[in-house]
Amino acid sequence: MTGNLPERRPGAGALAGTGGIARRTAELARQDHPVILWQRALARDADAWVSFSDDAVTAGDERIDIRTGHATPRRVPSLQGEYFGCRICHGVLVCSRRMADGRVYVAGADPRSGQVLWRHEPMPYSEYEASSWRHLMLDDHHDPDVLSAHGLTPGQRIELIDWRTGRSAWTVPWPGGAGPSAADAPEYSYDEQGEFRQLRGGQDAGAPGTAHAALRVRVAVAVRHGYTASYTDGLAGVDEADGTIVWRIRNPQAGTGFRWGPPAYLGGTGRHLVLAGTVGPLHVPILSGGCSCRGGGLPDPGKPNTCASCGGIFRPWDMVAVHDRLSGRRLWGHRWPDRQAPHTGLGGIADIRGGIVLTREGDFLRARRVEDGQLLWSAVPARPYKRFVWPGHHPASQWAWLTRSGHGDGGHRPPLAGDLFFHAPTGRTLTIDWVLDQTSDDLVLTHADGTLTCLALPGSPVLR
Amino acid sequence: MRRTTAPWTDPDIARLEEELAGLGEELAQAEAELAEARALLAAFTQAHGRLMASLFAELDEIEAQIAEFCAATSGWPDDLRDAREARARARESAGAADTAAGQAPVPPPPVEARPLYRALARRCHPDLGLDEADRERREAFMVRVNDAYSGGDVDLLRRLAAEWDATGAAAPADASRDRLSRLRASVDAVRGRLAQVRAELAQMAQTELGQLLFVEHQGDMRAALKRLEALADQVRSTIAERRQVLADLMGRR
Repeated sequence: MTGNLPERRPGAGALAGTGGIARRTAELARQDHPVILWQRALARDADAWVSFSDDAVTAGDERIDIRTGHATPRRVPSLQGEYFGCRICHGVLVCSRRMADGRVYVAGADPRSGQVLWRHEPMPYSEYEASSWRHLMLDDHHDPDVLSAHGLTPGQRIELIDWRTGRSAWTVPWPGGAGPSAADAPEYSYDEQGEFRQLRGGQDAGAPGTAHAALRVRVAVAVRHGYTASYTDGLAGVDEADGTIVWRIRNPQAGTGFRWGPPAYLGGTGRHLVLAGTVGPLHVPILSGGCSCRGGGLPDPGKPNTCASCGGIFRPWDMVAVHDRLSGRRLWGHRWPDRQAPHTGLGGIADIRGGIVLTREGDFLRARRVEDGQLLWSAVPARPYKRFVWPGHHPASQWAWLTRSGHGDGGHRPPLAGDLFFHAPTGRTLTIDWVLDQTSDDLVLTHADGTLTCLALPGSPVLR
Repeated sequence: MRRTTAPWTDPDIARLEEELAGLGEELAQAEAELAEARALLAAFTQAHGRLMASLFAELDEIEAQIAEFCAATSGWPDDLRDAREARARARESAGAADTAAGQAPVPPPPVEARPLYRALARRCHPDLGLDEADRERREAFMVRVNDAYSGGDVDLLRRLAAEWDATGAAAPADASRDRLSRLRASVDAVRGRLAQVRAELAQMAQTELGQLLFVEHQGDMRAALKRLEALADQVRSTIAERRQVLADLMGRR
């Protein structure tokens, strides 16, 4: 059709509006638009505690719908005692409380009426175990489908409670501790250098034709959540139907330094489990006869890794490893020199988002496919960031959160605005100039001056 | 008593003529929109290139230097690969910046050109031709109209309008028996062209810069350029930050 405008334009490309620079500009334009989903003022006493929980934000005595910001009264089961945590799990509000006499209750309730549906009193807890137990509570754990409620009992056993009835389904021994496992369960181990080896062979639960693979059950993992490298005493693959341990990773007990040890459980996604940690402290002491720094001397993360006590040199490595959930087998691993990584536990080095393993390697942020470790992209953030926030907690979400605020500031320094979000599949970035509180499934919550604001990141399921 | 009778008109022809007139108006409007959208996008693309290409080139050069420093320090294969890729990207960006800098600015057509263009398109659009010869004559004329519009030459558009009124509007005699079939063909052709124009408009709005110009700012060139400036400021800020990172790295050496 010669009636069309002629296409010739001085210097224009094949199609106006396209090209590499245009693509980058468009990406830039897309980056800075998180959507404010809703905002609402909070009651004064609600400021103390705000938490995401499934499809709702809980703020004080209000339960706020995540999509609309509409608040309804939150009814908590009438349990006296110290609060540990609450979570809505498959429609049941599960709360735990520790009583003055040391007993701990777990209760399931109707989240709308507060009516208690069941109450479970596990075995008594010691003070230490009760405080540890919080780490195992539902608020923190990201495998709620499997571990609906559980606790660490005296005798180092993990108990799974059926969220529908409150009955104890099974208990298993702590993965790293002594205790029985299936006679044919293979056992593996990581050492301090991050070397993985098979301690004992056995029937592979993930192999076709084996008894476990033939069953309808999926294998659950009972772990202490790996917030810090101190929780490294092992993992176990557990048949969720009866608690049978079908594989075990039994690591040497910690005690060789707070920071360095075998890699810890970071999180799971589909059939994959991701472990991460700082390993392999090649220690060359200057003092003859060695020194005690392996037991506690920590180098300043921003400075060369020298021992504070003797001046000897440490050469640690950061690593990630991906295991098959069914068989416990290691699928791939990657390690890199520990350069400048702040001492922030797993948050300093790795995260999982959208089926992608993200690692902080010096100045670089890198993304690898969880299935085989193939490198997808590599980028250098524009500013220095301290750590991933909630690493491993939201493996289905797409955006990884890197914060500028330090870990362990102890509330002495105010948190900083300008945190960065990386879109795991593409490496696109987004900076939010607010001080942020929490995230869940590509939503971000910020809470300042008595106002709660919920931001949806691009692609968040709430926007669809 | 004398009786006067109106000449008989084939109702199908009357209906088709009416439909063609309506479609002609619609097509003229659509062609004007398309011409304006093309001109706007071309001008926006050039303005974008001149503004952003050099900034991205500067940023990529700094990133390449940072990556090269890290690679030289660590010697790790991943870092070396990143450094190679960053250097290749910096070279590519520098080339794109040179190309953009060499382009003469293309101003968008002036606002008063649009009604002139639209009026001309309504009258002389090739798809309104009644036979092949008429269509060819209109096509040749429309090329001149399009050139005048894309060049923003309002005076030339006025002269072309006068020229068409004087000579071009004389349609060939329609003495043939198959007027009905020619009208049908014209209606089909106009409909087909309308579909093409709409598809092209949609395609332009889907390009990277088209989204910025047409979707985000509804074709408001001034607002889109303002947005582009804000994005350029973001890149400038990143450049400043990355330059500082590079300086810090170099200082550690």
